[in-house]
Amino acid sequence: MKKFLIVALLLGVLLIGSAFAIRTITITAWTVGPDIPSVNRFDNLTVAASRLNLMLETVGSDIRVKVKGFFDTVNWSDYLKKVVFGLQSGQPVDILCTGHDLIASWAKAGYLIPMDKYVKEYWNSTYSAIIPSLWKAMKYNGKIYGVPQDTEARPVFVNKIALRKLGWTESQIDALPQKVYDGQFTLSDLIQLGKEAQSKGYVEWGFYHRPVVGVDFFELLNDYGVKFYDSQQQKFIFDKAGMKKVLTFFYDLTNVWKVTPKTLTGSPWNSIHREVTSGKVFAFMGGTWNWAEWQKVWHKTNKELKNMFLPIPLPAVEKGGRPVTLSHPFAYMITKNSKHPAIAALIITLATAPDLNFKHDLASGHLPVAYTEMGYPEYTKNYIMVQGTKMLPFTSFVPNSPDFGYTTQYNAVLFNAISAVESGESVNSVTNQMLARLQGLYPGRVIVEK
Amino acid sequence: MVEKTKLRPFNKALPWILLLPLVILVLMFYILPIVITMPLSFTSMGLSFKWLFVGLENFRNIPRDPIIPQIIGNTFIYVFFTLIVFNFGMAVLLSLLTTSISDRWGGFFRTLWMLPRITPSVVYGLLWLWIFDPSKNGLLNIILSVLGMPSQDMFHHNPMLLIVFANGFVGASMGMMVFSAAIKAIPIEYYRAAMVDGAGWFTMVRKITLPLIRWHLLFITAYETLSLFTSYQYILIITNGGPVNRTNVWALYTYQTAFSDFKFGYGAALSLVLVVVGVIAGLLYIHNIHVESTSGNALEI
Amino acid sequence: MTKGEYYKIGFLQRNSSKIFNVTVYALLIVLSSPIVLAYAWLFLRSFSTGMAHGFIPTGLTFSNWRFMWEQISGLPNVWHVTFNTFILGGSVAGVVLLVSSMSGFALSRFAFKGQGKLLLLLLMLHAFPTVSLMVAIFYILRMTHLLNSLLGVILLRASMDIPWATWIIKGFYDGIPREIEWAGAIDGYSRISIWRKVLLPMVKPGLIVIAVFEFLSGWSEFIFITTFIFSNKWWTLSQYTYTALGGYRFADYGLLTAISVWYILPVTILFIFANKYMTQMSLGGIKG
Repeated sequence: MKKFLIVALLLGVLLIGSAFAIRTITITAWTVGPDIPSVNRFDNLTVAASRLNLMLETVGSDIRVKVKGFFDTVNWSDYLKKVVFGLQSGQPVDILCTGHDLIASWAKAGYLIPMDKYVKEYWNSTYSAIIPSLWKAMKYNGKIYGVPQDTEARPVFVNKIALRKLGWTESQIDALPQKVYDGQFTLSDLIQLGKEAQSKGYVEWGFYHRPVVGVDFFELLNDYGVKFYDSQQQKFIFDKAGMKKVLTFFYDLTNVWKVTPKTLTGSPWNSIHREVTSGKVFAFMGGTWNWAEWQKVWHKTNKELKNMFLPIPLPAVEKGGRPVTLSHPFAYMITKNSKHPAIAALIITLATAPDLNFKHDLASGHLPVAYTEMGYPEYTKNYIMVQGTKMLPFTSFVPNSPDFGYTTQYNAVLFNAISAVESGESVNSVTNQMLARLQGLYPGRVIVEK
Repeated sequence: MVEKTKLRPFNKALPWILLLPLVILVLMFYILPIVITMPLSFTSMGLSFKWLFVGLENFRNIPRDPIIPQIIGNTFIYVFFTLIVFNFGMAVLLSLLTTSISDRWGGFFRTLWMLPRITPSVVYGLLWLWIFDPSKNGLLNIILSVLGMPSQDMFHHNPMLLIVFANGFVGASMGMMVFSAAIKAIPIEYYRAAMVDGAGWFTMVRKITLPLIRWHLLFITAYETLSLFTSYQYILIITNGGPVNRTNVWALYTYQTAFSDFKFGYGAALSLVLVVVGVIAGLLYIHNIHVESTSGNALEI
Repeated sequence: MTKGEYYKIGFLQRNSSKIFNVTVYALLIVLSSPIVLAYAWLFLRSFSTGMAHGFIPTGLTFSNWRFMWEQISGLPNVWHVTFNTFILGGSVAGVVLLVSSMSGFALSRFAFKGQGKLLLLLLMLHAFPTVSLMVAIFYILRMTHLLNSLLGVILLRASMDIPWATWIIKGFYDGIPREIEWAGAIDGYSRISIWRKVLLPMVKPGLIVIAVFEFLSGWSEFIFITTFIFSNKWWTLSQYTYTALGGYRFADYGLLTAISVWYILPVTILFIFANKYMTQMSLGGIKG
């Protein structure tokens, strides 16, 4: 009897205690910039958690959610290293936020869980507002593995100060973007203009592109109409004639027109930014986020930047052709290590609130992923966002396949070929080397087109 | 003596009990890694961490890898020049110079040269980024502009030079310390006799100092060759092998293959080369030490 | 410094001409100037608004040190990180001291089978390039659940340094006359008590050198931290500085130098107050 009493007492205490005890669920999120102003990719998740907690508190729930984790700014490979090893070693990571092109390889390696269920659940409340074309970039094998977080365009920033020195009037300058959209102003017009500005001493260099491996170079392939991947068959296409044209462009940049320094490839990002923001470059193939980076890290005001740079898409190769740009949407993903995928999905959904994503866009120079973000008055007032959005009809994505993603071989092979021709190796031999390298890496998976 | 007899059975096990932590750590972090690396190098382990055995595929791929010739060339340049100019050359020079002046000031300069070695590597990396900063803010370009010469962008024009300098300023101190100690141990009578014969500083260095510290010179050369061949920390921080692999060396490439490209099988195969070199050099090193202790000129610092 | 050495140096000095002396000093100053200038720049830059001509401070400011009281994008709280760094340095020193003083004692004072081979093995391990076996080490840490934990890095760093430390401390034990131990034995001490009460106090100088060097070794550790630590909860100052370097290289020297000066504080203290130890620590510098 005594025993029974004690047990009953204990049970009672436990029951009462548990009614008052608040259980905290920790959601861990590992996010990446690497650009510093994009820190809201992480912060928005913590805001989402506090909103969720407010709701939970209101309905008298004993559960609270806490978001922990980090926002990485070193470089891509450092972040990827942490994610791959962290997941492998069973770290309790729930949410990742990174580029969409990693979805395929990570989903294939079993690191991510499909999110179709959650997207469907919150479709009417949140996800129906997402720009439909972005979902394409979130899928692998027909399943959704991510929720769009932001997107961007990759404009060419033309140096207005140099244009003025070349005798352009303000109205001529303002009319340039339309001429690019109409295909009247071509890539070679841009290069020739850069060459002129350079020879007259208005700038030090006519044309800059990204200095390290990355997705920007697909823009040139697209601009020249060179197909490089067949998503259906999961095979690479090697359009030999087309690839030669693209490589000739890069060869000419440093060896014929001499508008790009041979030392560009491999430069640290920050020395590129330093030169571009000090007006030493006529045209720079950048991204909308640079606008925020130049303000935050390089201390330029929005006004100074507007006075200095004119963002245009990458002009068409042929007169009358279409200009191009490239988007690399970021996505929130849920990992297989997550013990609370439903809560993680809820947090992601709350972080996809238009005000939060828009706050991120505004702070970091990225573009909205949802129509609901475009209703804010700040949106129409934000120069780079408006200009960037205008380019989106001309955009394309990196193929969603395990063959692509930041560190995959194709990107590296293409980049090495570009740096080889820029350093003066002949286009013919580099093209052949590139093909041989691809065939060696992907036996039987390279379709050669003459 | 009575106690000792009583304690004998325990005494026999005692040294091994005392050595147990050491043995466990050595097994765990030296022996086991080697044991694991071998089978790993025969797999195609990648992003999904599966043990898929592919036979000799990885080893066949090493000569096929188009970056390998460049890596070997870079490794050779890096090891050779850092060793000759700094870890050996500068070390000899510094030890001769600092032992030729008062011990107080000699010690001061030696301490100064120890500073890079005990500075955390990331901070040390920042110093070299600044020294070779391609804009007018960098130390090199400040000096060049004082001399009326144009700015240099070493990151591109000669990135290997930057790597050699950064590693050399750390590496020189070890040889300097070992050689200085050895020089100080040379009996003064040798020099006195030489001076009576009218020998100058250079003659004494050539005829007395260097022959007497030859074992130390050999030892440092062997040791530093291995150490340079397998080190990549400063390169990782300063250029990470860039621009476009121009400063990438074997050890760093191994690290990147595994930890940036996630090709663990191939990375293990590449690191096996380092293991083989390490074991051979280790055996030579032991041999060296042995010779030294028998020659009555044991290594003391 | 022995009397003989002192005599030698005096002898050389008296007999060498002034020109020779001046040349030697001039050479040493020129050769060492990059080190002096670089460290001077580091300290000056961290307190100045900018540098005219790259080297002359333009004005005093503490805003470069803002990381101490405000959040910097992408970086965790510096106090937390510094605390971790302290733990890492202290623990590495502790583990190495414990293990090496035990094994050094065993190797110096006992005769047992395999002793010679073990000594040679330790020498070989000291030169062995373990950093090239990172993949396998990753596997071992994963098996033992030591990934993403400071304990894993502490054990790794300690293991790398223990062969060296054991050799050093064995040398110190070897220098103690056997008679002292016998005296202890006659007093009725067991061997363990003799070790603890008689020998350890006598090798204290060696233990101090090892403790100081190993603290710095853990304090500075970079490769293991950046490879095996994934969450910023366990970051140390090396990863913190490296991350700042990634985001702000060439862009914000003020912030980078201030973080660096903060990071090298123990090194600076050592440099100023324990100059003597630094030379002794060249022993530790042997690991290239």
